[in-house]
Amino acid sequence: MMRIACVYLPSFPLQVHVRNAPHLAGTSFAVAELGERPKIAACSRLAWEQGVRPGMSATQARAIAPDVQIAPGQPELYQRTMQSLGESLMAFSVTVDISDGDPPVPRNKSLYLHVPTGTRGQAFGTALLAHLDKQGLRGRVGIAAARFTAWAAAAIAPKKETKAEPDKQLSLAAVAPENPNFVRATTTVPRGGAAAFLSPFALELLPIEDEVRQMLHTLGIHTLGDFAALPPPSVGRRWSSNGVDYQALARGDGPTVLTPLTPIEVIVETIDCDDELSDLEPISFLLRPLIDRACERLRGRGMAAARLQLTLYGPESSASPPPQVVIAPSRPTLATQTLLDLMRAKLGELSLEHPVLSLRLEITRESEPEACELDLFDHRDATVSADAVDIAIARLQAALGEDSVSSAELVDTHRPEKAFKLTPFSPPRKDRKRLRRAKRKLAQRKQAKSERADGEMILPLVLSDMVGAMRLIEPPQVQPRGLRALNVGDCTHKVVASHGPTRLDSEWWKDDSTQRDYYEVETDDGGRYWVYKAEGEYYLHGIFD
Amino acid sequence: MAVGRSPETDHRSPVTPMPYAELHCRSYFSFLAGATAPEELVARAHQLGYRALAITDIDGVYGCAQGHFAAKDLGLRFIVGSELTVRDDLSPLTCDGQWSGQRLVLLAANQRGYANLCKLLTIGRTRVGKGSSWVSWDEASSMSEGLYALSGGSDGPLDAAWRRQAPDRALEWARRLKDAFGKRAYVELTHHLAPGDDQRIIAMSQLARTVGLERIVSQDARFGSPVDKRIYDVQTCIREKCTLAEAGRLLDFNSERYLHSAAEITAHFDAFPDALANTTRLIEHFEFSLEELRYRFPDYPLPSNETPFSHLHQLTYQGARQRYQPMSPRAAAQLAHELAIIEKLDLAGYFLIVYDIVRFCRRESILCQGRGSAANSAVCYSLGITAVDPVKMELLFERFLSEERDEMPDIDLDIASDRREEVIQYVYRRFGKERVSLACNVISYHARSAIRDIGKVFGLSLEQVDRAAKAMDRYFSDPSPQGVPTNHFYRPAPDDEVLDSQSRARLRHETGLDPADPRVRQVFAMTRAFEGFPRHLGIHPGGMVIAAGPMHEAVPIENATMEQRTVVQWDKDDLKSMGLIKIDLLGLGMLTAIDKAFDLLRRHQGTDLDMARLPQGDRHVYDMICEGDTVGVFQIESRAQMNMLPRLRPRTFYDLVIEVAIIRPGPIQGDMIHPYLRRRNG
Repeated sequence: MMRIACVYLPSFPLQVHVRNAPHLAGTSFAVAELGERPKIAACSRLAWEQGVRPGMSATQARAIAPDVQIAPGQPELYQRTMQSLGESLMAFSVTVDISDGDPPVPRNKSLYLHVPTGTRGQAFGTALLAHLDKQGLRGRVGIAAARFTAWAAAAIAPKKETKAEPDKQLSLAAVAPENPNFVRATTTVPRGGAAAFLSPFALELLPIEDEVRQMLHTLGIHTLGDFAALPPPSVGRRWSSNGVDYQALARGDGPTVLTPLTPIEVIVETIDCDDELSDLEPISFLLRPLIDRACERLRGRGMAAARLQLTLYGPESSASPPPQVVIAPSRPTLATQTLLDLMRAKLGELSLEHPVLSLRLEITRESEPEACELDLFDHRDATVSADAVDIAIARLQAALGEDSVSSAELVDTHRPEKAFKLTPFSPPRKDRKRLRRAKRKLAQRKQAKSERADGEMILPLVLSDMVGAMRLIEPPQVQPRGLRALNVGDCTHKVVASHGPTRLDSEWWKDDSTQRDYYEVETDDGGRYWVYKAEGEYYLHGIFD
Repeated sequence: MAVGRSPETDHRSPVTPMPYAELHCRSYFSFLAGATAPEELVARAHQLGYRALAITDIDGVYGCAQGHFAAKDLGLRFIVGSELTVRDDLSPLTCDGQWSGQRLVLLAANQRGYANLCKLLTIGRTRVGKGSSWVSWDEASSMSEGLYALSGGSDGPLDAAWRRQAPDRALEWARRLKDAFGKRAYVELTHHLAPGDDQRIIAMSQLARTVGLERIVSQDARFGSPVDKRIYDVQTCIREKCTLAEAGRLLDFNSERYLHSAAEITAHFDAFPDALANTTRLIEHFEFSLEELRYRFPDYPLPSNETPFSHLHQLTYQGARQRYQPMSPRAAAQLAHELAIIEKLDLAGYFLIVYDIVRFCRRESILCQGRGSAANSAVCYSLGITAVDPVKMELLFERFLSEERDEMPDIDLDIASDRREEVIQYVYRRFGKERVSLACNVISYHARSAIRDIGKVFGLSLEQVDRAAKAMDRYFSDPSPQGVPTNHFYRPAPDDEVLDSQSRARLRHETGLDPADPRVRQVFAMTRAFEGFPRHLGIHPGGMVIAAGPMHEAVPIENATMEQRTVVQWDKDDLKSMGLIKIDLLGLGMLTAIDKAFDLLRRHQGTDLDMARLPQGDRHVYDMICEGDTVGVFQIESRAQMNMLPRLRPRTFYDLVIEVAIIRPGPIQGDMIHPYLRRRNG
């Protein structure tokens, strides 16, 4: 049976606000619940030290700590952050549940993951905590066989990191991260030891109605162990709400089902600035966590960034549309540094008309991550790294325009000047099914072509006017008996030999179908030219090197 | 030849053309790999002054019968040949890991060679499923007698090995050819003004010299005239399942694979005069003509001291004594007349074979009935093949068989549909499986099927193709003139040539396709050009061909789609023109119903009837017929017939004959019905 890890995020609203506006860290700050008489839902350590406590009214809090900043709660932001965190955690486990069906403890949030088989609990927990750090969040991890047990293991701070020995009388309010006693830890409940682990915990952990709890206290039932020891028929589901068997929870036999998270379609990450920013340098600084988070979410989806769009929002009074920067690495990547470098290169060319107040990063195209061909070899031997190419392309696009950088694609045609085309540059996308199909088709085509009669045309190294009209040999020195001389530039050359014709007659179904007789012509100065005759006129198509 | 040719050659004075014969040319019977009808190829070859033409379709001689007769009419020498797919360990592997086949051109020099060619084609075609064929090199080399082998041009093993840069394989193939065919093997020199052709022709020439093989010039033609390249390109796309835009280099580099004039060829290959001379010299070795096709109808097992005719004579009079009671002088005279003609045309064996099949049906209580013109024969009536007395009905025997017409008689047998298979199996058992085969049916493109394939090739959406296909019958219903193949040279016709203005407006309204759109115009023009093109082979509904010897010595046999069925490579018209006799064993559901009715009558009323003794003047039956109450009644059940019956009011069997004969496209279009009715009603 798969074990469940609970990631417990105390004072979640507070953490989200600090994450979204990093300048709030270390200040006296509180988040108030919504409503006519808002109450403090969470407060920072400084506010705590000044006497602000969750549950106070905003007025009370201001009376105690006049400089405390009280922000209204933003449920939508919290939900988005949970989604973002959940998606990024999908890199650790295929099943991530952010539905938070636990006892509705105010201020705190928790999410659950299946621990992959064969993973050691402590190592898994440590990895999750490190990931939380990268996401700008703090929390604890509990690992057990059931959701409730895992939650309890995460919510109750252990005295030692490696061994779970919770304080019997620990108040839930004491676990807040702003509390100096907050411990970042992973608590692993041994297999079959859930009942013993839960036994000393206070009855308050169970979401039983207050009246019932009071009655139980009166009867001398103070801990989960006491409650679990009650004879089952006498309690059964009588006190349960929504069919939850509290006694089973107390025994560590609670629900184990997780609802897998579905990634939302477009990845968007936002961050607010400390002040109005007019310089691009601090903007670049804020970009890193933004890109980091986006990349972690992509990693969770098993995808990589193929195209990103950064929008710089200014004051609402600004009339001009917010400037946008788009980057498209040459291959889908999850390397934050590469994306950051590309973004900086593009930002370097941007001039701001108004100060920036917030940043919004959107992954406009994602694709399967591709191993770079250079990975096949020792990177030290590679003269040019793929990242450097990306940055160079980004700079070119920034300097010359988005359309200035193109990709060349081969075109399957007999017409030499149409044998390739330029397409807007975009990173290659990896679609395994499509690739397989294309490979199979290619093999079949190759087979069919190898059975074809015609050989390949040997093209000269230099083609004149690759696209568009061919250069006419002016004036055409056509004698009554054929081509005797040709003018290239200002020079006239006498033709001494020619080979051909090779007759091209293609694409009759198009308006620009063509019929040409190609010759390889040698002139008296040793030059070799590729000319063709069409409708009685001679044209120079290329020069052999 | 093109090597080192200067642009001056475009202006050089015309060379004196050498006589030329084309020995490697595909017709549209290469099924999507050749773009011109055999008759047109022959006509063009004749027009260009060729000494001879060989039609060499891929793994078959499908077009040879038509080509032969067209050439005969024009006085052109016709050579029978085929591109035979040979698969061997020297062949390259396909992407599926199979040996890919390469094609040698085999030409039949004599009767033995033709039989060997047919046998090889039969081996190849019956080895694999429908549409494919291959023989091993051992098989090809062991049956080389009477055959001339050409290296196969661009699809041949030598060119292919050179293209794959495997000169050792090319050399090995050339040596094999020489070992197996000796002086009857030739290296083909082809040049289509395509990239690499100069190098290839030199390489092939040197290879021939190295091995000691003679060289000939060929055009490896895929179509008759340059404009047919467009059809060939579309065929390539249909075959490769891609659009023209996607096809790219799958299409030929240019349109040079057509039949050039002798002057052009002489100029083209002026560096290889020996090869040109060999080409015309070679045709003198081909003495075989399809006229000499040795086909014999199987011998009927006869009692001792009997000839086929004497036996037929005896059987006829035995039967006549039962049919004609008493025998009238008219009947006796008719029988004598018919038997004399049958003896003169040596067709007694044929009548005996048909009699044998009918006798089997009778023995097995399978209801069977001769139909069509055979009903005009008193001999057939006496033998029990038909059930209508032609003497009484005053039917004309010459419609069935005539000395003046150089045609084989055609006896079609309707057999109770649920038991036809028993009869077919009997024929296989009686004459031997290798001597019996079904006739093929060449499935040709019609406007509707053509536009489906062509629309896709031109990149129309499936929806557009579907709508256009549904509209086709309305806009392209006019059939091509009789006797003129519809696959006339494709040309991009102006839209007013394809459709009139009214039709264009309707087409736009009904299908959403704009006839002024060049692509749509091309689709419609190409569709017209494709009408009548063979697409694949099917099975004739009932035509069985029986031979005295192995069938594959007369015509190649191949697998049909239906399991355990084989068909010959010629359809009913080709069989007829080549003098191969076909017996149609057709399944008829109504006979099954009649059979069951006879059985019911026998059981419930004790009445024993057969087809010949059915009472023909039942008043109540004619009353129902006159009211048009004929649902499910064979021949007079169609809506047109049911409409006509109350007006014509048949009261005799002969009236019914008129009724069936007059409701036909010819009399209807000739506006003969009303005059007849007026005359009939006085």
